[in-house]
Amino acid sequence: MMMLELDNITKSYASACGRLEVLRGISARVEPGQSISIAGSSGCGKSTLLNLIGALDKPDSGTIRLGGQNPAEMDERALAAFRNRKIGFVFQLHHLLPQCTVLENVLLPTLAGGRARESALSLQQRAMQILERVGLSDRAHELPARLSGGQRQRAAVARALINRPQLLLADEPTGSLDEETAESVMGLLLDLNRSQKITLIVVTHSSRLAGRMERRFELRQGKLVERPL
Amino acid sequence: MNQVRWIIRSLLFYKWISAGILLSALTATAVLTGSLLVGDSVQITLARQMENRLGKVRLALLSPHTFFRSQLAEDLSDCLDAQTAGVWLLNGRIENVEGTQRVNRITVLGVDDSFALMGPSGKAPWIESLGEGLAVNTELADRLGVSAGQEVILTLQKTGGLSAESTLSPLSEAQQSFRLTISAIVSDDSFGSFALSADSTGALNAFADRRTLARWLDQSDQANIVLIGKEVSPTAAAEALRKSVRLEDLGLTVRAIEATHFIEVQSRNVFINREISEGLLKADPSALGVLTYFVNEIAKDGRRCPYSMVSAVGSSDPAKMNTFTRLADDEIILNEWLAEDLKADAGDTVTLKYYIPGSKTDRLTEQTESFRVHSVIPMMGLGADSTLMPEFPSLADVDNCRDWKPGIPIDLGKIRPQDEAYWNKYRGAAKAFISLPTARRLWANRFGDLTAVRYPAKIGLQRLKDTLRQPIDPLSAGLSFDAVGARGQKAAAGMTNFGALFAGLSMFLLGSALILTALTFHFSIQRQADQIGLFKALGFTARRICRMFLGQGLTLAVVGSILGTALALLYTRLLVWALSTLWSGAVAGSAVEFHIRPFTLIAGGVAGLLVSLISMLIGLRKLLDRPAADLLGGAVEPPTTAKAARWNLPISILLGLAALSLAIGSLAVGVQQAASIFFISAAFLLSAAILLGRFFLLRRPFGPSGTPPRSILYLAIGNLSSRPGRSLAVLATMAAGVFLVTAVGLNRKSPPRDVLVRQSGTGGFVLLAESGLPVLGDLNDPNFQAELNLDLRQTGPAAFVPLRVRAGEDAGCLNLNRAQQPRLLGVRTADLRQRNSFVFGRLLKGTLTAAEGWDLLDLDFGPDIVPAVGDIGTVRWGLGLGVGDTLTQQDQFGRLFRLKIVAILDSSVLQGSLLISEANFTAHFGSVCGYQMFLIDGLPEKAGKLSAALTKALRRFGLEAVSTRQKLAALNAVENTYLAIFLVLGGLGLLLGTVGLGLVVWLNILDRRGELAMMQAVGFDRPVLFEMLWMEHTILLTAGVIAGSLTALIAILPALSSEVSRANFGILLLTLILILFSGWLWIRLAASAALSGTALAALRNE
Repeated sequence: MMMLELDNITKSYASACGRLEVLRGISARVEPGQSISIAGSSGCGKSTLLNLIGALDKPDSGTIRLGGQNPAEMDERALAAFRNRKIGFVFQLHHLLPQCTVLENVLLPTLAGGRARESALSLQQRAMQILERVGLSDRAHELPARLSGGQRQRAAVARALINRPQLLLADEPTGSLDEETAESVMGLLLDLNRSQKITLIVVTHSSRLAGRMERRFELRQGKLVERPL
Repeated sequence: MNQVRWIIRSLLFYKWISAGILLSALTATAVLTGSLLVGDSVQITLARQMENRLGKVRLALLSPHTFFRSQLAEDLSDCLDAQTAGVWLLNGRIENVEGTQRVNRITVLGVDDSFALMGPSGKAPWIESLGEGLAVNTELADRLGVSAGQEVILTLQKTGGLSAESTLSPLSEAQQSFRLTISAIVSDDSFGSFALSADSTGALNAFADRRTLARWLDQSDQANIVLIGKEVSPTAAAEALRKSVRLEDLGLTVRAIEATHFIEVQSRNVFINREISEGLLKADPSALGVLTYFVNEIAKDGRRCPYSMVSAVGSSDPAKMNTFTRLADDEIILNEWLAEDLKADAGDTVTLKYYIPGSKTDRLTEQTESFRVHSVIPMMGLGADSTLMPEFPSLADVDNCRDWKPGIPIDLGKIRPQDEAYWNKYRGAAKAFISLPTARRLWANRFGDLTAVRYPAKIGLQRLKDTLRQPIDPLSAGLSFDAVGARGQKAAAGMTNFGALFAGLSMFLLGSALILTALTFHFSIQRQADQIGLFKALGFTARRICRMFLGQGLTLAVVGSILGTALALLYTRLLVWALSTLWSGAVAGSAVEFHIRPFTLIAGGVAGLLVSLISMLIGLRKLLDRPAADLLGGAVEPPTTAKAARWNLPISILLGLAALSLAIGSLAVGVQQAASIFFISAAFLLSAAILLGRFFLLRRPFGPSGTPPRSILYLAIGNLSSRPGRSLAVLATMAAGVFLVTAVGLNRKSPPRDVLVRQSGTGGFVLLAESGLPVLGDLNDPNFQAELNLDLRQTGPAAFVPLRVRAGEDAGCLNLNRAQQPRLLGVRTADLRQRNSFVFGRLLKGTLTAAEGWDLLDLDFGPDIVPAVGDIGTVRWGLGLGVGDTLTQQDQFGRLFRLKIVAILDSSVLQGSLLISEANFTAHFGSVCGYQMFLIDGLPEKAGKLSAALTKALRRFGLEAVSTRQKLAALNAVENTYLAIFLVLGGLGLLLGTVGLGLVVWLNILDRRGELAMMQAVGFDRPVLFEMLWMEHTILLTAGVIAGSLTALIAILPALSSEVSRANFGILLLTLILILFSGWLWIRLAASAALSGTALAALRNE
């Protein structure tokens, strides 16, 4: 079964100059455990596509299947649960809650899932293991304001992993980081992809980072074109 | 990590904004709860007043036209197993001995120890010290300026006997005056404020010892009211009364007349009313009805016999018929003396001249009637029976007929020696007899249709007394029960809901606090908007997110409500203090005390919590509806386009044109309607202004297709379009707030400039006069004017519309209680119809046109339904009724009848009373004599002189005249005080609203920190940025205030054309200045706080 199937997806927005067609019939297939990059110029619709894949938005037409399921057919509750269990998000801006510690931020997705079967202790242990993995175990009880940009982004990656997602979506995760930190975060994501067989889809401007993925796509004039490695 | 911890962390992290939400929720709760507590304070004050007023009294037995044995109170006490007190209750007036201070309408009570037991404390030690003196309550002592030991002159209305209003009643006997010493001043808790009517204004009571008062009035141990200290069912009360009552309690006397072998029943009131006379005649088939009347002359062929009694004797039993009872309608029997005097014999025609019996207030009319002599009877038996003459005052009780002084004019010159000799020998023995049906046709009047009923002596006096108790129901013969306790409770409970009223008056304050709550909460969650987006992305359902964020709000709202409830006590105290001082006009001068009910406190707190939560939910729902991706990207407001504004301009123009057309159209209608139309047209204009503002804000003056900014001002104006929703909200809220507060607060009611305008609240009358004691005569009659020494030469012409008054509760806005038994006025409808006085607001559908409004009072709606008219303050607000509604009342015999509201007048000097026709009035309240209210036509410039002349001439009636303009102004004062309260509280609300403006400014600036940092980076210094920010928000504030004020001024143009208080204009100007100043201050504070961070930090965050 495919991890992701995009079938003739279109999406447009209203603008001052009329309707702006961003995505024009996009189709693609992604196998489980693959790493994918999506590149393209600013405003070409990369984030829009990622939001559609992550079921944060709905296409005007076409079908998206994630692990064989169509999110468009789910009600709000099922969709929320689906996102919570199956998908992990890493944003360009980390979006950590400033009022919560790093550990609390990592545990945040578990609050939505209603994980009655898992004790708070086991969740906390798992969170600490993930923080260990991303190199932040010693900063677990700090507030995000006291972390550097790279640390914040790694904390955001840890948060994305807490529910063991099958699909990790990263929207320009290194866009606001320096080269060295960006390299470190990207390395972390790829490591997770390979070691845990998590399907990874990264939107990036960087051709160097894109080059490290198994498959490379480019969004151009609303069409998704796969580039050879 | 759990939800509670997240909430606590969030609240602490955003501590300043959390404090803002808490303070707003606190204010909303304090205002709402405080308003409700004002309602409690007024209600509990009224309940306390009722307790002081009635004490333990729950039921009262009333006898409006006679008095009864005081023993009846004790008999009822035994039957009902209840505490009772027999009391005299009379109307009177009082003045100090110097005559410098006078109170014209007081209640004089004759009391004993049993009255003390009925009081709220069960103690009234002042009663023991009454002696021959008089005690007055605190209210009366204050008005009169007297203290214990000082002397006063008390004048009482005569009670019992022939009605003072009867034609035959001598004017001199209507009042009695006494010089008395004040023995004590009685406080409210010593039962000093006793009153049967539920009026929130204090009772004016004077107390005398019951037996002493009876002695002053030449009465024996009597009373005219029994107070009963127990709730008793009507059936049980009626049963107890039937068991206890005796004939003398109904004003009847029974005596055996040995010389005539008759037992005779007479009334102390001279005439026996129909209800009793029917019962007396039915009691025994042998009963004979007797009607004796005083005629001016009996004549035949130029021979005249002056001033004689003529009787009629009749029976309904054919078996008992005799010469007297069988007389034809035109036949007359003469006694031998008269036949001799007139040289008349059977078959001759004689004429009778007599005054039509009736009211002193009617013009005295002499009537002549011819009779054919049936026979002549000897001077024995009925022919010389002096007992047929009833106790006509100043006539039957004098030794010499030259001492006669009845109410009708007597020409003593006509009395001949033989007449004196007849009087000396036969007293008032009737000289002639006519048939009873004819006598009733000629002389029956509203006071009765018989003067005696006779029974054969063989029945036996005691047996007759026992027999007569059966057919005469005391409750239809003049005695009636009044459930004063239930009525008082209903009146106190049914009062205006001051809680709701003050919640309404505090509407703007409450609204501002709620808007502020919503704004601060919205502000708080906007700061966390990306978190909402994140939660959505992480798989939190909208409901879950809503719960989490509402949890933040709930925590703050709960704390805010608890603290707000405590603050409400302070707010209530402040309002109660203001109601007792600055705004005492709103409660007609009643002393409102601070009281709280725990339930209201809790309910207010919970209500404050709920409204705060609802206002938060509204703000939250908007954000929850936004897509997660937008929220994560910082797009918290939905995009707006200039396209959305394209209809604003044409709609705005259309609304402006509609407003103009309405304003022009209103010139063709009356002032009242014009006020409403101007208000609507101003509201249209305001909407047009707001839409115009929206059009310009959404049009984006510069941008991709516009021109580049040329100045800071230009930049500031352009920036307003960046958040059009927020900018428009500020503009619209300020404009609408200022408009409503100004238009409503300034739209005061004022009397018309020209009081002579008939179609106005004055009815075209210059004076309204009220007298403490009834005026028994027609003030329009020059003879009566002469009798009163009323000299109108200096005052110009005057005409009087007299009104009969059935005392009752003030049903207008001067009474905080809801009147259950409103004061009724009996008016000769023709008087008002001819003048076309007052403005009819609403008429009963399907009846008459407005021009014929007063004719509605003469309509016949069937038995027991009496048409009534009142002004809007009385009918709608005082009684809570509308046109077509009915109000059940008791007549003087305790019978129920319904007042049907057939029309509602616009606000008028008649507020507080219902008007019915004089015919209906006398039919239901025949025992109420004379007139106690007068609408007076005259010259406005001489109104003062006329008032002084009337007050002087009618001093003994305790007449007070006030100008109708003054009266109307006093009545309007209540409503105008409410408007002043609305203006002050609304102004405070707007001031609080400017804090919200500051918050919006802060939010805007924080949202634009990146943009501002960029501007700093490219060379704009902080003062320039500050100026730009200050300008753009000041433009909004000033535009809102100007739009609101200008449209409000248009709305009140009709009121401006009459009269608007300068004081209110002052308050308004002060409010507007404070709003602008406060708004500017908050803008400056918000701008400098938001610009305080460094540009670098902002840019880094960006």
